[in-house]
Parts: sequence; C-alpha cells; structure tokens
Amino acid sequence: MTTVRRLAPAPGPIELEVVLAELAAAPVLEPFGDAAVDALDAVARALFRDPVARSQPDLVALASWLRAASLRRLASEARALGLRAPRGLAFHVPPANVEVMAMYSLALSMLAGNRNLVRISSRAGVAAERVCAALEAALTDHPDVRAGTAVLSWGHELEPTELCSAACDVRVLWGGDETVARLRAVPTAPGARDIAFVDRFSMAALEAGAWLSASSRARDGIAAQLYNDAYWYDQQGCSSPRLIVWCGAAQGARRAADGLYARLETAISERGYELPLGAVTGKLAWVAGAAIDRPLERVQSFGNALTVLTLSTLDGFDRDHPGGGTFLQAFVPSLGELAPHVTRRDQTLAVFGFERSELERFAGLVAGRGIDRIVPLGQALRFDHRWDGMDLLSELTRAVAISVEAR
Amino acid sequence: MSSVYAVPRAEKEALLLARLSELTEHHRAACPAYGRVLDLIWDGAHGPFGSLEDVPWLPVQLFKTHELSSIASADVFKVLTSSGTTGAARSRIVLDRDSALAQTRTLAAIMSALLGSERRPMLIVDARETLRDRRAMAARAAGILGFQTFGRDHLYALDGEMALRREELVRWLASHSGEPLFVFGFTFMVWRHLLDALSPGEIDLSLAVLVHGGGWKQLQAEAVGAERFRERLREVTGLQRVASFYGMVEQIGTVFLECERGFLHAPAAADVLIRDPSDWSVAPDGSSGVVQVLSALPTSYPGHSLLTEDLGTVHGRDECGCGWLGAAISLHGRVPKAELRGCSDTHAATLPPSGALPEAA
Repeated sequence: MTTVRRLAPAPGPIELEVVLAELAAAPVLEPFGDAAVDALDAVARALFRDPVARSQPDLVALASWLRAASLRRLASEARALGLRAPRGLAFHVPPANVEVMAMYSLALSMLAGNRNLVRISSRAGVAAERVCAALEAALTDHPDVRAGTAVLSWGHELEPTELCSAACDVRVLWGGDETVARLRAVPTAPGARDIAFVDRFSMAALEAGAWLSASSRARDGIAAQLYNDAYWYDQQGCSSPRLIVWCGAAQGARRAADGLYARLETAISERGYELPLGAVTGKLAWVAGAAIDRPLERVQSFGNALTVLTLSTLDGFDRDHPGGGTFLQAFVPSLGELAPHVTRRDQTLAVFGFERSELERFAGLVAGRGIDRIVPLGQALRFDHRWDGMDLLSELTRAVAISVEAR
Repeated sequence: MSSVYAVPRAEKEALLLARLSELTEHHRAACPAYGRVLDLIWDGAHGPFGSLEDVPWLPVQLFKTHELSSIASADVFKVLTSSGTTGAARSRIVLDRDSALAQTRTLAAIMSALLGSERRPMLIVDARETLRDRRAMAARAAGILGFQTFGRDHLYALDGEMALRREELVRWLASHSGEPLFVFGFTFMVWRHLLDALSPGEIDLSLAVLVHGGGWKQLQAEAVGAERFRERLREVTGLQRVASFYGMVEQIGTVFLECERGFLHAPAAADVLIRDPSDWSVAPDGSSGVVQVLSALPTSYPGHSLLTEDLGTVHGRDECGCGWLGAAISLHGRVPKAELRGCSDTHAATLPPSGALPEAA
C-alpha cells in the first residue's frame, strides 16, 4: 500500500490504491454537461467568499473563469466539436510555479467528463491551499463530481507516480522540459496518451508610433499591463514576456523605450515589487555573462528589479533567461522583421499598437514554427483552453464516429 | 607583528587604489570579455579611480560560467577550480607562473604573521587518502596542499577510514615535545574526528596554533559555533590559539586570518567593502551587507575586485584590540539561494536576520 496525502476532498493521509478504486467506481459524467458546470460554479463562489483568495489577483481571475456563465460559453463551443466521449481517468501534474494552473487543468478535464487525479507539488503555497479549500467546500453538494475528483500530494518518491500513470487514460504534464522528460519515462497503459506542456518563451511587441501618440495616462496604462504580464510570476511563467521588440523608425522607438522603462520603474516601486537577495546576485552574474556572450549594445539598470539589455541583432537569439525583471530588447523596422527569428519554443506574443491585419500577416509568416497566442499586452497570463497550440477540450475527450445513415 | 598587518589605512588604501586602477586597465586590455563587462555594465569606467568603492566589480559567480583569462593559453601554468557540491558549477581560475608565485608568497607572509618565520612541525587533521580523491574532496585537498608548505615533518592524524591514528600521533608528539606546532584541518574534521576521538588530557597541543576553515554549516545541527569550538579545544587538548580563515579560490593568495579577538583581518594586499544590496552603495562600517573583496594580486585573470555571495560586517579598520591593522570583519553566512518560483508573494532583497553563526569559507 502506498500512502499519500489527499488535499481534497476529505483531506488527510490515504492509501493511493483506495483513491484509485474510488475513482474507478465514480459515475461517468456527460461531456460539457451541467453537472461539471454547476460544481465548478460552486468552486468559483467558494473562492469569491474566501477573503484570502479575494486578495490574490490570480485566484480572482480563476474564480471569474470558473463561473457558470463563462463555462457555459465554453461548453457550447465544445459541443461544436461533434459527438465526444470522456477519455476516462485523467492524471494531472500541474506546474509547481503557477499553482492556479492545477485548477484550470482540473476544470477543463471535469468539463470533458473525465474523472481526475491531480498531483500538487509538496512545495505548493497559498494559492493551491485556497483552491483545495474551495473544492472541499463546493463539492459536498455535487457528489458525482466529488466521487470522480482527487487532489493529492506526495514527496519525491516515484511509486505513486507509477501507480497513477498505470491507471490513467490521459496524463496532463505541465512543467519544464526536464520534468516532462522525467515523467514521460514513467510508463502508462498502452492506450493512454500524454498531453505535455514544455518550456516556452514569450515576448512582447510594441508599435513605437502608437506609443508616441498615446496620452501620458495611456502610457501609464501600458506600463502597468507590462508589469502585470512580466512580474506576476517573477517573469518565470511560460507566457511572461522576456523579450521586448519595438517596431518602427529607430529614433522614435528608442525614445518610446526610454519612456516605457521610466514608467515601468515607477510601477515596480509603487507596487513594492522586490526580488530576494539570492535572485538579485544571480541576476547580476547572468547579466555580466550576457554582456560577454551576447550581441548587446547597451545594458540599463533601473534598480534590482528592472534590467534592460538592448540587442544589436536578433540573429542567433539565445532564449536562456534568469527572470526577475530582465528584459532583452530589440528594435526592428516592422513586425515582419521579427518573424524569421521565431522558433518552436516561442509561445505568446503580447502586443500593443498593431492593426489586426498586421498581426494576421505576422501569424502567417511564423506559421508552422512558433507563437501559439497573440494577445493584447496585459493578457499574457490569461488562461485559455487553447494552449500551446492545442485545444484542451478536444484533447481531453475522444471523438466518437457514428457512420450509420439516418433512417 | 609582521608587515601584512602593519600597514596603516591611509597608506594601504592609496597603494591599493593605484594598484587596482592599474589592474583594471591591464585586464581591460588583456581580457576582451572583461572589457565588454566594463563597457556595457560600468559605462566604460576608466581608472585612475577616486576611491576604492569606484573600482568596478565582477560577481564572483561569473567565474563559474565563464573562463576569464588575461594571459595567453601557452602561459597557463595552473588552473584552479573551486570546491562545490557534485553537479554544481565550479569556478575556473587561470594562473601563470608569476601570479602563482605571487599568491604563494603573499600567503606565506600572511601565515608567518601567525606562525612565525620558522616552519613548525605540522599536524594535518585529515587522511593522506583525501589528496588522492581529488574530485570528491577538492576543497579539502586544495586546502591541505595550499597550507602544507607552511609546516614541516607533516603527520596525517587520520587514516583512510577517518579514524584517529592514535599511536602515530602520540609518537609524533613525543618526538616534537616542547616545540611550537602547527595544526591544520577543516572545522568539521577537527570537531568530529579529532576532538570526538580524544579524552581530555590525552594529548597536549598547548604549544600549537590551529588553522581551520570550511565553515560551521555541518556543525550547525549540533549548535557548535566559534566559542564552543575553542572551549572544547582548550578542554581536550590545551590548545589556545585558534584561527579560522576566509578565502576563496578566486582570490587565493589573500586570505583573511582570524585574530586573537575573533575577527578576520584583511592583509596588506587586500581590502574589503560591504555593499548595501538595496542599491549596492557601500554600507558604513558596522552594518551588515554583501562582502566585496579587493586584492592586489590577480594579474592573470580579472579577479581583483569581486562581489562575493557572503554576508558580513566590517567592525573597524586599524582599530582591533589584537594589534593587527587592516579591516576586521565577521561573516554571517552566505546569501541564501533563491529560486524564483514565480509565486506571487513579494520578497524583499533584504538581509537575513543576523545572529546566524559566522562562517569561514
């Protein structure tokens, strides 16, 4: 018997074999049906009632996303996929650094009608704790969903991962390349499949002319949006922008950049964002290394939490990055010049000041290589069921084909 | 007592400032990578500098990711690597013949301030086997090799199983009865494998000086700090004079030795500044911060001004009651490792609470 810690429902130590047996016996839910929508709406309400959760923007965003109105929209979109069946048991390994991702992953899979087992990192903090409390409170009134849900935690031992992998029909792996490689080495049943989210790199593009013609207040707003995108996860999220690309005539673009960082510096100090000392010294060493290795023409430091490294070229662009408020920066005449430098690793492009047609042209230029999302600046971290180029609602269900003529 | 601790502050700072300005220009010309760092991060800072705090510094971790050399590869005489846990990156420091010699000479001058100019019989609290296992025990092996030249008639106190070679030790002590001795070892080794193996009065080290390094980390679980360490040495062996040292492979010749009052002193060829991590300005003496070390020695690599990962305080310059001149410092451990996890809590670049056990590396 393998003992693990169950965080929700019914928190406490429990044998994993018992959990797996309970999940196997849980009722199968209709994909995109009301049972899951109602249960998740109850989770949303529990989060909104929780004063701690209410004080955390990422939990507030999660709770809004989980509301019935928002999920019904999703469900109707998903019904357009045709006849769908749940895959069965989903085993989720969410990332340790973005704790709320566990609940997004779980919620989509619940909507798909799967039974779910979520492994939460033993290092998890407040966000994971509030999510589990909300699940515990909300699922009491939804026994069918509750019976098919288990949020667990265990240490470094491999055995629980092996048992869950052998039992599941689909494994949802979030995390860095290394974590995913390590987990993928653990065998699953022959028919099971993996949905893996690996290391990604994200960037922001700003149209210099649009910045220069924006009002002072609008510029403050743009700086605040960049702050939200970059600093919320210490610039360590897959979608956190790390490269800033300015498009437009060189002189104006440089003026625009100076204006942006002055405002960003203000936003950082107003919000009291600071890095732990160990991260600051690590960043100093990284920046010195970058000065040696990379084609930089300028390094600007605006205190410990904001460093801007201007590249003289994007040729051979190295995506290694320390996080914590480090921006690589490049100037190009137009967005099209960025396209040749985009690779498979690039995920999100957060934009300001471009015409939609320009963005569509860019998406065409990078098609087949990288960039899975183009979003307005300020929405880089917003969760979407289409992630890393996959529609999770489709990935988490099976397509059922009935090729019998109607009589 | 000796010249390395006899140079008054004003004289020393003037000499060091001229030397560090000269070294900055030398390395700018000889090491293109260093030149790029000066240009991009230090706005092309040029000597001569107005004060020691204006001398540009490199983060010491940079030597773990980059080999910075100011000599032609044909002139590389020795490559030093730092200790480090398996898997962790190690610093690589290149020396030519001249810089290796300068380091040995400087270290000898520092040690003679403590041990006198005559070489003493030397007891090494370790096993000869440690030297053979160069990879796993790099720090201990390097320490033993570096310090053994300051003693003679060496005895390794431990066997390959780290058990005390009791009979050999007693015989060796008898053959040197009445002579001043030099004992060298890593702090943890002395505590665990010498003191734990002896009963009080079993051997007499009252004429010995102990030099130890390696830090208190492994003894922290047992709440052993400098005081308890000295006390027990006195009780068990009668040893009175204990000196820890602070040094790093990146500035190997200029170690800081602990004086009779328990402070680490900068030798004549080195100095120390404490930086306030909120803006990296120099913190006033008496306050705690990140240690920056300055050394007149490094000519083969740009390591003359380094921001370390150690936390410390300068307690005074030329004011220590022990009689040694130079900055007197204490250390408060390392900058805690921080893995940015991307969690939403804000964390401040502030110093951990002081009162942690001092650590010599």
